[in-house]
Amino acid sequence: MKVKAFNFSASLREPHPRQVAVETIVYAANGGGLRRLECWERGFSFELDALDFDAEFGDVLQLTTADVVRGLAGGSFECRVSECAAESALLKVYNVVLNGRNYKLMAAYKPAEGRLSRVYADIVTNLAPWEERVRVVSKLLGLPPRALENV
Amino acid sequence: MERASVGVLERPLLKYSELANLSPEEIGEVAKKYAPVLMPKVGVDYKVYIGKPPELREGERLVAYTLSTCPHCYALVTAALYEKEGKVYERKVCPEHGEFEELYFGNYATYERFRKWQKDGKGVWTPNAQLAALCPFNCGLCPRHKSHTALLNIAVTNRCELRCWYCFFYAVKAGYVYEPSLNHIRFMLREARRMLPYPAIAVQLTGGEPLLRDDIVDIVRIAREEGYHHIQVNTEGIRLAFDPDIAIKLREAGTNVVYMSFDGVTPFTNPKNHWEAPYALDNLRRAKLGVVLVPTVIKDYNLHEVGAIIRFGVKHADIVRGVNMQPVSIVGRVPKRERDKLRVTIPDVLLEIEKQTDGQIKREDWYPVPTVVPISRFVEALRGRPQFELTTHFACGAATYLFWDDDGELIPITRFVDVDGVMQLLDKAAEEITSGRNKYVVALSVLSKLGRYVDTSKAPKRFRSKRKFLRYIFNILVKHDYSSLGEFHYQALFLGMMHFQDPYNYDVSRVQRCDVHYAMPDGRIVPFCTFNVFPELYRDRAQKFFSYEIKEWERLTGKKLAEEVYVRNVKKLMEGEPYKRAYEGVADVLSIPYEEHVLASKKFGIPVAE
Repeated sequence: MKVKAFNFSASLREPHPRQVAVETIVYAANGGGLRRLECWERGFSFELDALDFDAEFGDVLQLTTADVVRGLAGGSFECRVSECAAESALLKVYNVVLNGRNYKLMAAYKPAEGRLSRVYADIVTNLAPWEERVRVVSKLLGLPPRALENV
Repeated sequence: MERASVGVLERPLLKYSELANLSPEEIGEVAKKYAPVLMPKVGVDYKVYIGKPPELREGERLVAYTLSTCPHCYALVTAALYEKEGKVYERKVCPEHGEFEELYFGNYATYERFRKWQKDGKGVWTPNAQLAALCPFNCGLCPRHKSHTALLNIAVTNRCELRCWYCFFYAVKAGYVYEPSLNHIRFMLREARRMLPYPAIAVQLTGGEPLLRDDIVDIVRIAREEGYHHIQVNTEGIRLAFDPDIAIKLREAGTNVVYMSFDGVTPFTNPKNHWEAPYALDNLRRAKLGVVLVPTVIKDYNLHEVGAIIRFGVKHADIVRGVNMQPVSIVGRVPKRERDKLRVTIPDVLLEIEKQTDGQIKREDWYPVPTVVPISRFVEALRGRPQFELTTHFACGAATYLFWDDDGELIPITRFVDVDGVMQLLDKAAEEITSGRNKYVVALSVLSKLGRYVDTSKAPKRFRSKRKFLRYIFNILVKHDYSSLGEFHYQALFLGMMHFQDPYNYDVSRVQRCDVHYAMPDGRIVPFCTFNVFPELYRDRAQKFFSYEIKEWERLTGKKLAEEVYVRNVKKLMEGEPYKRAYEGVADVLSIPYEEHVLASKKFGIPVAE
């Protein structure tokens, strides 16, 4: 199974100004712990990646391809796409700087019907305290909460 | 590739008469089973050509890029918004159907002034559709959507007694009857009530003509039972004109307001209900049921009457709560030169209102819809839970409140309230509370400062008491409830503007922020501007799927669809006292020869009893 991860920074002017930078770290969740995945990196393509970008950040950051396209006039968008081979459940950790504020957000994926399905995602407009999120995610991935201590 | 037909999924996969008798839960199970099947399909219903945006030409200045659609085949394409000669245009190129250029916003300065108020919502935390396609072909709402439902529309029938020349939507033309059962409507209402962070609380019952349903009052009652605070019925007003009881029954069941089509003050500009509107207003008056007049504004048709429509609203302000103008949405394939005769945008209408009211209502008196977000954010900070907020795109709508003095002078709220100042005050206060400052201290500080932003010496005489006016503002801000708003409404006329999109000026950035939604019979909740702009993919496809065949409906109801045609008695309506009174001082309609009245009605498609 393949999974994509996006590392990007965007400075968007329209329809309202937004500065966002996201570093995505992908972990395999197995054997009771997390292991950082090695991924192959390439450039971003609207044709290939727009839908995956929306699926990843449409709710998490309220940021979509349409936002990126809209904001590009007078703005910028630098994005690298990592493609990672995954065998098991995954944890994605997003280190986000959004309009000057720092966030650590998570998304959890589990294999189902031959592909990885997202079973959990933090939404920046609806964030529970970190400890609570760690508790939920670790339970979903079958990990002890301490496995997420250093993400 | 041409546009997809509704028949990608040919009915009948199910017989609606059998579904109609099921419980809301059972209907929900069936509906959700078919919702994914009814979704638009890439390669079948549309193609994707997003890539290089169109280039600009001499004299054009880039404003933004966006995603749009080909008006002919619905292909998703990249578009450029650019400024030229003080206006904003949209250009896009479909590889199959060529270039399209359309006026997007009639004044660049207004565009920039409105844009400053843009604020995004918190999204939809309980999406009804999985993300499987790009916008706008994945509506339902999907996880990308940025605004909760501010107004839910439910089409309760596609029957209509009018035969307006431009309409292809009503049952006789469509070839089926879409009329969801009461339990089906309850299911749809419940779907929107499940929405987080903020459940739908306002619903508009629409059609077709919703008052053709014998059980319309029951539907209103059901909406109340399901927790809707605000219920409005959208109508052409014919039934209201002739049945005084229906207005009373609607109000008693819980209807808050009627949204009534009203396109002008003469028979030529409003052939739909020019003669009936006065009688409808009288019956609404008796029922104490408020009404919002809803003109569709078309450039070469009724743009010259926007001022008169507002004056008509003020004249009947005892029962008219607002005027909500809708610059035309051009549906179907219309050649460019024809579109240029029809197309108006929000700034164009604002300019005309300014001219036609002799500068009493200026363009600067209007604010885009998201201007009021700081009120919601302030209340949210005080209460600690998400609030109703209007985070629609700035180019979608505008509004103001209008007051007047006894001498007839029109006074927009902006003449005596510093709207910018109030909103900045609330924005800052919300930020302070969120950052940890004591909310009671901040709230007290806000209340003590509010007076600075109100200059009652410029207010209408009845608001010269600063204390009285501040009490209204305090009630709205602190209580944030409908009774406060209602009280305010009775003292003022709401002036609104909502420009729904069409395939020519489509902007995905707007639709992702849409907060006027439709409940679909399959449980999806779809933005207005996908529901109506791509009817073959959303509205018609889903409604046809959950509809009766005409013969079956006629057998079940004992009615004949073809006989449901309104025939107007122009002479009798013109002779009535309500008609003579209604337009007095606004338009001299009595001097128009009877024959011209008749011709106007007939040309529009409404037959006249000789």
